[in-house]
Amino acid sequence: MSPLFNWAAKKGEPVAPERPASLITENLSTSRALPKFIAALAHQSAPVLLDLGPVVGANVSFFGDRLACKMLIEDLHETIGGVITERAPETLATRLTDRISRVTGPVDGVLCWDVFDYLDRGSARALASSLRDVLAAGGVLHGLFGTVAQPASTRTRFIMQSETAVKCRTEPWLAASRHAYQTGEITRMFEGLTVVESVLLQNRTRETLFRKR
Amino acid sequence: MNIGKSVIIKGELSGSEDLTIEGQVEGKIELRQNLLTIGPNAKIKAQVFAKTVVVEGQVHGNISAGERVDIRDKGVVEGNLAAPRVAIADGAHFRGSIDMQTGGAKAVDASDARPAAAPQPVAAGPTAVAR
Repeated sequence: MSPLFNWAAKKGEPVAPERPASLITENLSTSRALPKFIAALAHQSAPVLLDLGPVVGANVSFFGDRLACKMLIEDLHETIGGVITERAPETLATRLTDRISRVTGPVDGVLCWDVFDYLDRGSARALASSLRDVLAAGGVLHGLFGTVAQPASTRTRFIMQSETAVKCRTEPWLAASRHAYQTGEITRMFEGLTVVESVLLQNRTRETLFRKR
Repeated sequence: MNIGKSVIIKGELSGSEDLTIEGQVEGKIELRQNLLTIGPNAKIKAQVFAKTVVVEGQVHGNISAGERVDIRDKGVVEGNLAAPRVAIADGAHFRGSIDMQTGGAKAVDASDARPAAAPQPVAAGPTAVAR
């Protein structure tokens, strides 16, 4: 299987090493699912795209140029960060679903990036359910799911370079736990959506594309 | 034309020349054929309509531009954007939606769903208060 997301800077370097929090690192990676995600939206007139990551200007330009879409930015890192800072993990699921419930109208595409890695099981299920509800029929959802649970004090911004290339910029963030979910569990979380593409990457991240029938 | 940082305007601000705001505006700003620059010290709570909008300060409200919205690295926008071209620099804070489907001038209006920070209604006509 090809290394679609090469997080390590050099071939052979240990995957997902502990990084000093003061460092920002960037790696270029390749995606197999994002071209299909874009293709699914490209044939639609004025699609609506929901981005759950921190706002990235390059992505706004990228998707705007290619899709002439309407983008909704709902930075869930902001919500997760608030819960960590307030030490109120029991409120996470509610806060996430409240935030998604404010999204008006169905959306044609959802970019989850790696947000599910930061969610406990209950919150992940609640968010997946909300996203399934807000996704329009025929809509697509893209996510990256880590397969190794570990503490982390970084987060990653994913910056589109082309339809198949993504720059991954890892930067210091709050101390958080990264969770890992089995493939079957991910599929069950998004029950009602069909898996279009699911690739286990060499860095032990699973890239998955779902479609709502 | 500049609006200095000690100036507070509550009401409707419109014109036909380029404008830089460093002060505070609450209400509505219309410069449909011109460049509007929200300076680093500016705090805006308004619906904004202009040809091009450059944000270096804070805007709470929807922005609609005929050509372009440019949020610089220290810029803060909580509201919906409508413009054919939108640029958001690294470090900028943005919360809302971005509509690049249309020409912008008409896209984000009072009827648009979910304005992130709709300003309170204000009396028509500008009221400038120098501090």
